[in-house]
Amino acid sequence: MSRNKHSEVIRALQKIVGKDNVSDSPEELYYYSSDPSTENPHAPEYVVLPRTVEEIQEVVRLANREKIPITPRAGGLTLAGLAIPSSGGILLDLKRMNKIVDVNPNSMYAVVECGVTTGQLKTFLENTFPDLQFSVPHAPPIVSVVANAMVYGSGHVCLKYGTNSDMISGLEVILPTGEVLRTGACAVDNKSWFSKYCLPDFTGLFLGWFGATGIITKCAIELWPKPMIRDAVYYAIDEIDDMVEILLRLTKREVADDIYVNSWTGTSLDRYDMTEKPRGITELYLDVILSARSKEEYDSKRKTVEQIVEEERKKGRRIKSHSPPQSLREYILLVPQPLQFMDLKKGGGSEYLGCYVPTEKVGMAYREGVRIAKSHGFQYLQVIRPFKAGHATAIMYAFSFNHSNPEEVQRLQTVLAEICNSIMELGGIPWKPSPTLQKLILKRADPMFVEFIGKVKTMLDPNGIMAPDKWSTEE
Amino acid sequence: MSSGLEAYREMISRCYKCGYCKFTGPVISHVEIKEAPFYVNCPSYDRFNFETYSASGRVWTAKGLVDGNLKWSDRLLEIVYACTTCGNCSNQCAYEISKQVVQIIEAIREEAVKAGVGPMPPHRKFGEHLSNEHNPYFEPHNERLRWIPKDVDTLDKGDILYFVGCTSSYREKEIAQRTAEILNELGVQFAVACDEWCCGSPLLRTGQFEVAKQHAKHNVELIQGMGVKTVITSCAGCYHTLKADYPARFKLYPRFRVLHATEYLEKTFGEKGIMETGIEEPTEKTKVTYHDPCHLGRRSKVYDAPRSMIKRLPGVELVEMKRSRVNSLCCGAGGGVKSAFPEWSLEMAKNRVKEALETGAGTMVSACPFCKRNLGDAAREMASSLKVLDLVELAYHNLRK
Repeated sequence: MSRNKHSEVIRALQKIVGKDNVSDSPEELYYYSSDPSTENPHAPEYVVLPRTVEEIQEVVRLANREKIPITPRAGGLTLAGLAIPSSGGILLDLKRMNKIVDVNPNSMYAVVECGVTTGQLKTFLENTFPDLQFSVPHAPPIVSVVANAMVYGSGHVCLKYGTNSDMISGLEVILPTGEVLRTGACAVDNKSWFSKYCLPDFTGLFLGWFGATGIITKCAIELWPKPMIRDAVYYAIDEIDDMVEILLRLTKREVADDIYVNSWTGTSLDRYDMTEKPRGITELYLDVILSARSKEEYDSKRKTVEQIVEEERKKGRRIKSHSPPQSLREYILLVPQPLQFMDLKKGGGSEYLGCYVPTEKVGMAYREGVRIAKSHGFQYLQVIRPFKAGHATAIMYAFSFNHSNPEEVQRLQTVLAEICNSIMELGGIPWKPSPTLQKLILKRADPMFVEFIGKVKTMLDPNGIMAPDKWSTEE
Repeated sequence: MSSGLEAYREMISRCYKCGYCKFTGPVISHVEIKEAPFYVNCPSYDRFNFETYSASGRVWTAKGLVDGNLKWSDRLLEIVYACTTCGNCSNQCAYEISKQVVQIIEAIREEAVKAGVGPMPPHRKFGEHLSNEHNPYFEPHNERLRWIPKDVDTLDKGDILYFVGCTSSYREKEIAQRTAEILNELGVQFAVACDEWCCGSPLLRTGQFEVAKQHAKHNVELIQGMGVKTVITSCAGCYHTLKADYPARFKLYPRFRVLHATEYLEKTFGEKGIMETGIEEPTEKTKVTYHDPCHLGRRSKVYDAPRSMIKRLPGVELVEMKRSRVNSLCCGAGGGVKSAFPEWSLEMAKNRVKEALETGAGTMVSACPFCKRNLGDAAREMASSLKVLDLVELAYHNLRK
C-alpha cells in the first residue's frame, strides 16, 4: 500500500473511532504481531479500538472498499495464533466493547458485548445476581466471554451443561459485508435473547470460524443457578486406563459439575520444573467437583463418588485418595490460576493444543501425547475434562518453549502436527487449532466439507477481508 | 543498548502475554486475600486501552528495544511514562518476572535518559531544579524547615531523625507539623536535618538515575554524620527509597534503620498505652477508610501498622474499600504521572475517591503526603464531602479530643 493510501486509511479510521483509538505506531504493531504460540509473528498495519456496533460496521465497510484484511481480537489468549494478523491489515481490538447489556434472572441469560471479560462477568454476577453463575473457564480473567464461547471453550460446570458454545442462546454479528445479523429469538424481537430454539439456527455459522465469517458483537450466554456448596473429592491414579474407566462411570452418574484430570506436572507449584517424574509421585490426579444446596445433598453426592471408586478398587484398580495442598484446592475451586508450567522453558513461549475426543479414546490420546512429547524432548502437561455427561472429552496438551530458539520452535511445531494427526486418527478433533493445524484438518477432511467452507466464505465475504488466513482453503 | 536494560534481557523474554497482570484478583503465590473480585487493576491500561499500555505491553516494549525491533519515539516515551509504577501488575503476575516488572519499566526510563530522549519535559524541569535546590517543587532549599511551628522542639543531632521529605516540607506542611507535635507529646526527642535533600524518589522513578544517586549519597553521609540510629519518614516514597532503593539501586548500605511514621507511632502508642485507657469510647463511631500508598503497601509490604494505628483510635471504625492492601488502587500521583499527565492523574484519584465514598466513610486517610495531595485535589474537584487526611493528622486530632 502506498504511503498516501496508508495515510488516507488512517484518517478514515480516525474519523470513525476517534484519533486516540487508532494506531499505526511501531510499538503497537510490534506488540500485536505475536502471541505465545509457535505461529509466525506478523504485524498488522493498523490497530483499531472500536466502541460501538456502528463503528465496527464503518470499519468493515472501509475495509471492503479498500480491500484491507481484518483480524478481530478480544483477549488474544487462544495460545494458538488465532489473533495474529497473518494477512496484515486491520487488527480490530474489541476490548472497548465491554458492556454487560442485560441479565435476565428468570430465563437465566446474560447479554454481553464481545469485549466483556470472564473476570468482569463473574464479578458482576457475584455483586448483582449472587444466585446465578456462568461457566467460568480455567483461564486468565482477561479472557473474553464471547471469544471463549465462539471457540467451544469450557467452564467449571461443563460436565453438567456442556461447552460454552452449547450455552449460546443468541448472537449479534457484523457480517463481512457490514450488515448486522441476529441469530436466535433476538432475530424476531431484539429484546428477547432467551433461546435459539425453533428457528433456522445460523449460530453455527460463527462458532469455530475464528472470525472468518463475521465479528460477533453481542452474545447471549446461559446462566445457571449457583449452589451454595462447592467442593471436590480428590484421587490419584497411576494408570490412564484405570482413569478412563472411572471417568466413564462417574460421568454417567451425573453427580459432578466438573471433572478435571491433571498429569503430575500440572498438580503442584513446586513440581513444574521437574524433567522426570520423581519416585512416589502418581501420574494422574483426578478432581471430582461437586456442588449442592445443602450438606445432605453434598454428602449424598460425595457418597456416590466414593461408592464408584470403592467398586472400582475391588476390581483391582489402584485408586488412591489424595489431599492436595490448600493452594491447589483454591486453584481447582476458587478461581483460575496461572499454570507455572508455562514458564518452564523461561522463553516466553507456550502453546496449549486441545483436542476433543470420544471419552473412551482418552487413554490412547493421553499415551500418544506423552510418547510424542518425549520423543521430541519436551516435557508434557496434559489435562482431561469431560463434557456434558461424557458425550465428549477434552484432552489438552500444554507446552512451554523458548521463543528465541528457532530450532525449539520448529521441533514443537512438529510435535503439535503429530498430535493433531494422531488425534484425528482416533476420531477426535483438534480444539481451536492454529492456522497451521487448520490446514492439516482440511487436508484430512471430506472434500465436500472443504469445498463447503470455501463456498460459505465466498458467499459471506466476497472481498475475502475477514480473517482470511482462518480456514483458508487456498493452497 | 547499554547495560541497564540489557541486564533484564532474559527476564524480558519470559513474558508470554497471559494477561493476569491486568486484573485484580486472588493469586496463589500472593495469598493475602483469598477471595477478591476481578477488576481491571492497571489504571494506564484502563485509560489508554492499547495492549502496549499494560505491564505486558511495557515488558514487550523493553524486549523490542533490547532486540533492536523498536526505536525511541515520542509514542514509546508516552507508553513508558504513562505508568505510575504502582506495582499492582506485579502483584497479580504469578511468574518470576513479577519481581522485576517495575524495575524493568524504570530501567527503560533510565535508558531513555541515557539516550538523551527522556525523561518527559516536566520531569526534566524538576530534575534540573533538584540538582540545585534539592526539591522538585521549585522552592528554595533554605526554606525547607519553614514548616516547623514555634512551639515544637527539635534537635540538631540525635538517635532519631525525622526525615520530613519534600512534599511535607513544602506542600503538605500539616503532616510534618502534626508528626512533630505528636512526637513532642510522646516525649520523643528527635532531630531534623536542615540540609536534608530530596530522597531521590521522583528522580529514580523518572529514570534520572545519576542525580538520584547524588542525592542518596548526600543523605546517607548527612544522616550517618549526625549519629542517627533511626530515621522516621512521613512519605511512603521516601521510606521505600531510603530503605530499599538505596541499597538495591545505589549500593549504599546505611547503618541506620528506616521506619515509616505509622510503624513508629503504632509501636510507641502500644508501648505507652496511648488511646487504650482513660478515653471513653463514643457510642457513634466515625467511619474511616484507609488508602494503602503503593510505596508503603505493595512495594514495602507495610499493611498492618497503619490499620492497627487506626484501630487504636477511639471513636473510629475502619472500613475497607473494595480494593485494599495488595489490591489497592493507585491514587494516580506516582511515577512522575502527576507532573507529566496531570489531568489523567486527577482522574485516577477521582476513581479512588469514589471507591472511598462507596464504603460510607466520611474520611479517607493515607500514609503518604503525595497520596493525600492527589486524593485531596480530586475530592475538592468533585466537591465531595469526603475528608482526605494523613493518618498522623487523624491521630493528632483524635488525641486532642
